[in-house]
Amino acid sequence: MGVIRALTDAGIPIDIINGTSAGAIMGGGYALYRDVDTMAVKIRDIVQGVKLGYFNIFRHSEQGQSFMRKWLQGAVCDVASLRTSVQSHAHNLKALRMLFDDHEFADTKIPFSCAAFDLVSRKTVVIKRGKLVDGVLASVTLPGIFPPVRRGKQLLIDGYVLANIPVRELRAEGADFVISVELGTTERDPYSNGIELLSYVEGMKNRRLERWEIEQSDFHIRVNFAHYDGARFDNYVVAMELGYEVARRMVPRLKRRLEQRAG
Amino acid sequence: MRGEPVTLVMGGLGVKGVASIGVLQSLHDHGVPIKRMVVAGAAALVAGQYALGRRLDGLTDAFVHFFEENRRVLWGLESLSGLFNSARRRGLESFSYFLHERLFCRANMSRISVLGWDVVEPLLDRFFEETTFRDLDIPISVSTVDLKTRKLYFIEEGSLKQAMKAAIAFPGLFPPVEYGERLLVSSTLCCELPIEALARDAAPVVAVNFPSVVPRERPRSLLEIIALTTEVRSNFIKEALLQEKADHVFRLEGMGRYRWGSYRRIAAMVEQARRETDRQLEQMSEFRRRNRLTKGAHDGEGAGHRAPGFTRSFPDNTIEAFNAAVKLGADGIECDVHETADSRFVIFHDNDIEGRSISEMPLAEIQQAKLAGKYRIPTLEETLETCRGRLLLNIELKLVYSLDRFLDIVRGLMKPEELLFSSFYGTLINELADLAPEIKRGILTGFPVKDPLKLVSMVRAQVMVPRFGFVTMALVDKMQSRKLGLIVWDCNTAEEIRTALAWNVDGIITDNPDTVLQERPKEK
Repeated sequence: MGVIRALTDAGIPIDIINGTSAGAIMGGGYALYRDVDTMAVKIRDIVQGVKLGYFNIFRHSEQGQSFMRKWLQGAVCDVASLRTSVQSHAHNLKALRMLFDDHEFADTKIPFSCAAFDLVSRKTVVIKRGKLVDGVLASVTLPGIFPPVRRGKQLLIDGYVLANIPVRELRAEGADFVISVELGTTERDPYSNGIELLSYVEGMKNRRLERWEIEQSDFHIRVNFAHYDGARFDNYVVAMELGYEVARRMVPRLKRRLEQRAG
Repeated sequence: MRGEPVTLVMGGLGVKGVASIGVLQSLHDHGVPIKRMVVAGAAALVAGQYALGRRLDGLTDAFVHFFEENRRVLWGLESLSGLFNSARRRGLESFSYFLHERLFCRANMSRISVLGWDVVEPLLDRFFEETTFRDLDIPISVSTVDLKTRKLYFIEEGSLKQAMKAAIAFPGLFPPVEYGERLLVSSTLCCELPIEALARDAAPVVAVNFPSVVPRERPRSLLEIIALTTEVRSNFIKEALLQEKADHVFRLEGMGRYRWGSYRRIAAMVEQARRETDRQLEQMSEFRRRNRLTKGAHDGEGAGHRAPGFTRSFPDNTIEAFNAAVKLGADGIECDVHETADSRFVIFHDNDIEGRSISEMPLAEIQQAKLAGKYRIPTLEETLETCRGRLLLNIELKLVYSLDRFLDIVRGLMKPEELLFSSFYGTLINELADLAPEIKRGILTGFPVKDPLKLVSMVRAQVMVPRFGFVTMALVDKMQSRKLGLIVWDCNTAEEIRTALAWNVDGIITDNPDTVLQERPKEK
């Protein structure tokens, strides 16, 4: 949201949006209202009104290995081998309804689509029809935490699998000048058990995939959340300001690039 | 495939890497020369044994025996790797699968890995004893991931046993290996084939790809979803890298039905890999043979007169040879340039003289060497002087690092229209496009290229210079219809030359220029 605000403040028009995960929520919200202030109010209501946190079993914890935590992890293991998720979608759905009401993709003021990964065809799918709530819900379904979303014959999860920064998908939609926004996350001490080691290696793959996508975009904005936990939604204001600050500083360079392209 | 030594890249998830035995057996039988092996995972064990000169037949048995002995410890690996077969499982089997999955998850939650090194230690001891990288007949780079820097790290020296440990330290299964300052794990999980970051002189790069077919069933549990996404991403990265970096890929489709934990089917895997590699090698030589025959059909039809007939006489790359080419009436010559230790440039074909690499020798020392007893190795300047105004000169850049100095010399002595640069190294050609846009550039290839147009545009070349054996008439037409040039090399027999002329190629690099001149219709 901070990045969008910086771009609109600088008078850089946004013609088409595609997002994955949290990017789909923000992108979709902006595409629907085309007004950052309205969005900010909605987001505040959501963060205050809905319990959004999630329990990431693959995440390293600083609290150490207390007996309770060990027991909980064990229980999660049993769940992990029997069920498809740890949590249900209830809170997510409530939050998305507050933001999107009953609007459809066709209602957005700016063409908007979001990316999800289909477990059946093993491909990235671009969702641009139907209810916004349904589409964006598929895009925020972190595998391992929330259950996959059924949509026709598809079984959808978070699009981050192959398209965390969906530049290719946007190009396919006919975008000309693509600005990619990367939200860098915390780099932690590598591991303390096998599961964390595995997810650490997975993170390396993530960066490589992202690098390819970023290379294909015309301009890249990287917001580094060095001390910000992706699962803590209550510091959203800090995140927004950080995004705004970073993007604002990059605007002159972006303008020069746009002029080069035009000339 | 005989000829230029290749860099062989091998990997493979889990026990699938063991199937490299079959690939190496086949390459060995067909006499494919290997200059270096870059390996990851279990393929490192196989490559290490091969490079130590051990027999490969016994190796399969050793692996089969090892897994047989440790069946109890390796519980569940096979069923875990066969994820998503849950729909077919019934009753007891289904329950034991659940137990394995849960045990694996629980074990990994409470400790760093499921297994310790005590399981494989005896096997590694038997394979590598106290050997080091110096004992190897073929140099090996063992690819690993350094957890501290989060980058690929190639082990190229020290104790083989320790390096192999790092190569097979699959996260979650074995603990990371301390290696001096570093903390290493296997690199197969984040990039199955260690094809990124190869040395510049690695070309031609031949990669062995064991595709993994992700089972069609829908994932049933959380762990299965995670495993599926991980695998899909690995495959995506692997395929993208292969397209970008490899000159030739052995794609062994039949390996798709094995999974990373199919340790009970190792013998079948090795056999399958060997058969498929055999078949692909035979197809390649068959391809070359058939093309030579079909050429006859076009003989004489629409024979071109554009072919400049670049020549290479014997002993190649000497002033005497260049003068002979002029006398013979050749249109141009092809020569190879190397940079010496003192940053001078010499014209020579091989990378080394009597076992010493040119890049490590100063010019004075190189000039003392005599070719065929009496010919001297010429410098770049001498060659340019000889050809100036008389011949077209195609300079193949081998290992040239000081491109600026090289271009200064060339520009000072010859006109751009008399020159063509070519190289096997795409990066070099790409660099030249910026540094010397006025001089034509060609990309050399020695193996079939999947998408030639993409390759040419990617390195910004104007000419493609493929080995004649892999050229078809369709390729010639494809290049020329897009106003790109096509010059063939390794085109030496009369029949080959006739065909190349019939296809109207833009140039022929040959050892027998006189044949080209005989076959070529007289110009008007």
